Amino acid sequence: MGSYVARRMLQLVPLLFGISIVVFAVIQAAPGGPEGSLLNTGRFIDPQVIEAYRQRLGVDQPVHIQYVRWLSSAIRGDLGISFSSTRPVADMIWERLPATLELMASAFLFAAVVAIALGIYSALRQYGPLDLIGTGVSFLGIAMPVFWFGLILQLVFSVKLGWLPVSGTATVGATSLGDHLKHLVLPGFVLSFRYIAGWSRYLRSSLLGVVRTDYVRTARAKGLPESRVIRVHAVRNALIPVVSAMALNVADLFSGAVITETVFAWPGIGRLFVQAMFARDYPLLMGILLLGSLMVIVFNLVADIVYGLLDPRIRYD
Amino acid sequence: MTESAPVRELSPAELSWRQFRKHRVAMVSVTVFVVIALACLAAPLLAPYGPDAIDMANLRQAPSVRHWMGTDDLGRDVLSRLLFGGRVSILIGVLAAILGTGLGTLVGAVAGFYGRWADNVLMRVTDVAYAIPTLPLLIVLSAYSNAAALSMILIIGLLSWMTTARVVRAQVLSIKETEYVLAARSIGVSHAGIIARHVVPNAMGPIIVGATLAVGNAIMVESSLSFLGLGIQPPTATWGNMLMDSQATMASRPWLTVFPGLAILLVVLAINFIGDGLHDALDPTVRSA
Amino acid sequence: MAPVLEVRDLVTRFHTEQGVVHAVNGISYAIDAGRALAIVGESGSGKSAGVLSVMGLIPPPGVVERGQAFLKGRDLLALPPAERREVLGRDIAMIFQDPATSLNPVLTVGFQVAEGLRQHLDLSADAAERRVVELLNLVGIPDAANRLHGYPHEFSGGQRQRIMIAMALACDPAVLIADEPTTALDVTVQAQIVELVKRLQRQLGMAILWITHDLALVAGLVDEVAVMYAGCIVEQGPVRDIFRAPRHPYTRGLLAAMPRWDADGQERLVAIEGSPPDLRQPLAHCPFAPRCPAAADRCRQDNPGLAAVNAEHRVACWRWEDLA
Repeated sequence: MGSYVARRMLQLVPLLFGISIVVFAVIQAAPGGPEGSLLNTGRFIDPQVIEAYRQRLGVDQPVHIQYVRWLSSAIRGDLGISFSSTRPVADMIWERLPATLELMASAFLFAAVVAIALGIYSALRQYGPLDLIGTGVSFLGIAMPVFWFGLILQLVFSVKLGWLPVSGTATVGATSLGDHLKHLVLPGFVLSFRYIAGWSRYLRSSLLGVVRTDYVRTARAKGLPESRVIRVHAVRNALIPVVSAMALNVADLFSGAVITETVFAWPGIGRLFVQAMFARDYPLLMGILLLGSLMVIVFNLVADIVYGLLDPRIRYD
Repeated sequence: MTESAPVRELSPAELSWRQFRKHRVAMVSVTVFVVIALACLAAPLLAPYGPDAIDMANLRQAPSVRHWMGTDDLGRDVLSRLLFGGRVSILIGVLAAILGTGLGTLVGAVAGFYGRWADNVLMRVTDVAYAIPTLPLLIVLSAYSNAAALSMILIIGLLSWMTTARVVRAQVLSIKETEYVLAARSIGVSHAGIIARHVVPNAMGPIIVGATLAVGNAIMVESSLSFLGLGIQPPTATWGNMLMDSQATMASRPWLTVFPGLAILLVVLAINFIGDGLHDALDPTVRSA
Repeated sequence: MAPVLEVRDLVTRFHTEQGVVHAVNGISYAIDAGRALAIVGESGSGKSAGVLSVMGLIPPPGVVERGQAFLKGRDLLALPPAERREVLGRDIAMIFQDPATSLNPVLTVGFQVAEGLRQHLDLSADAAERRVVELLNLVGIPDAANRLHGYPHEFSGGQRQRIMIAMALACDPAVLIADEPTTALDVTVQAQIVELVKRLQRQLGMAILWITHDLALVAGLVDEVAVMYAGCIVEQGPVRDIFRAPRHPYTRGLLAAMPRWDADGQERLVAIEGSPPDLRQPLAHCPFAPRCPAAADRCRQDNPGLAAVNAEHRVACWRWEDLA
């Protein structure tokens, strides 16, 4: 198992390089170049920031030197200075990251729990009422625009019914956990919906396939109670591809967070990203893109590890 | 014992069509999608008003006989804007999906067929493309272009090839080793000929399903970008930017929020059902005897 | 002495979209303790469906429509599912055709062999582990104490089948059903498995029900043979009688079709003309009639039941006396 993990981690290195090159290239491709945009945003930027940026990038240097300098700073945690706030990008990200992680983690866990329960139930009571509703909801969830869903729920639950707050992480002045949790409900649910839909459907079809396998038949032939057959033999095997898919969905969970944070004014790096976009704040954009990609890769590794833990055949790959 | 009478063999296309017809929801969805798409494409003819026509006497109206879906802050008819906006969204969606699927098929076919070096490089590139979250990247790219429809088609299409590439590559790998391909190679058919005549037709199933779902995905992405204010800019209507505008007055004028979102939902839902039906129809393992 | 397993008039049908498939059409047989019966037939003859019905493992859309299966006096088919599960794996066990897919790939073999033990005999983890080592040794898995922590994919096909046998014999069942256990294995390994089962039967004394399409394979293993065709038993009797004096035209065809090592190399292989019937039609006549070289009018109109050739040998054929 250890060598499997080590091998997977080694494969990440070229991937990280590739990502850094693409992110760097994308920013370099900005009309007017990255520091040219500094001057074109039409906002006042402290000349010291411009100078520091110039020096850091070594703008007069050839592109590959610039890349190396940028990359070596980034590895050391120095992601540059934001144009719009003149503060280090790393600090700004660090401040907002917990809010995003909280949102993503809550949505992920909620979706996982509900999807697994729904998926198992739907598969075992195929064509039963809950299964049909579940299938309908699944299709709806996948087709539902996240931003619209957020708006509608805001309309219903915050504006019309007043049960939940419209936006933000806390009511002004309130510090209780309860108040904070009330703020988390809507954005968390909105973000999770798509994944409840997708994962439950995937688990359902995986489980339906597993239940028909020879080894489940063998388990029944041993006279094991049906609950044990399902729990130990069927669900565990059926979960393997689903868990993998869950971890791989973190990439779009991040994209979803960008939209959800904007709709609910949730102070995370997703919202920061959109604000940075309007401000043409390229160092900040680069930093967040890099971080987002890093998150994706880390979770891909986690997916591989979990897969290896669950399915012994993979470890000798 | 019974002797079965000789039956005319159905072609694969006919078999697929029959299987598709059994999927009632998909059939209904085809009708829904075609109706919506045609309505939007025929917007100049069908829409009761122009998309920018201002009706000063009827600002901020709830749905009424004169304006079936109400009017917005500037007195523009929502239904008309929906139809014109649909033109833009659906067109971008379809063209971006075609671009992405075409590119993905090319990449997947080359990677699968030529193997080794080409495969390695292309798959590493695909991995990188998968790792960078798509929406943030599109957000940045959308700022570089002038946010016109063509740029949207290009950037969305250029970031949607990965799924198709992986699927096509898997298909090619499995077909590559089959007997009839080996036979074709042994009589000297060119690589391109083999790809075109043997590989692609067999991989068509997943490609078509992928392309269909890509349309829905592209429409969704385009709407998200316009919602954030980064895609097609007002006053040109798209369903996404109509929702952006509606946010401020959501409480007092819910119809401005409900209708554009509902349109996106319906279209993407229909497309997904069609994709599901196609998947059942084209997947040989699902086909009933 | 009462037989340890007695099946009476078993009928199983599959209600599919294309029609009702009459897979098992009223079969009856009995096995005494310590004896072995082979059920022989081609694909589609209902031989697997028959035993799966006895075990209660017929998947939907299949239904056991009638029949009784007495195991030590209790009718398995009449038991409620919870009680039947107590019997399965403990008094009657089954091994399947493909050991590669019949073992759970993500659980260790030790775990899988021990499951039945812990379920039926309520053994502690340690006691179960000791018994698992015993069982693996019994079936010939070397270095059992270590290998029980292995996963199915780490073993060869033959070893996997041995593990399945160990799993089936864990609770010392009175009856072992083997559904084509060697079909998916190499020829040399096939013989090893047959030898293993023979040895185990001598040691443990269970009754064996062996399903196969290969008559020759089980000649040295079983006491009795039942030949199935189109869901019916068409001939049944002691193995020597079946081989030396088969009465049913189908049995004769099967035996003639077996390639013989002592045959003159110039002879053509004999095949039975025609193909098996469509089981979606209920049978009103002898199922073999369309392919039978000796079919008479009566054969095409009425279904013959089993007639006694002698005390132990039965055949379902209108013309068995004429064809001697």
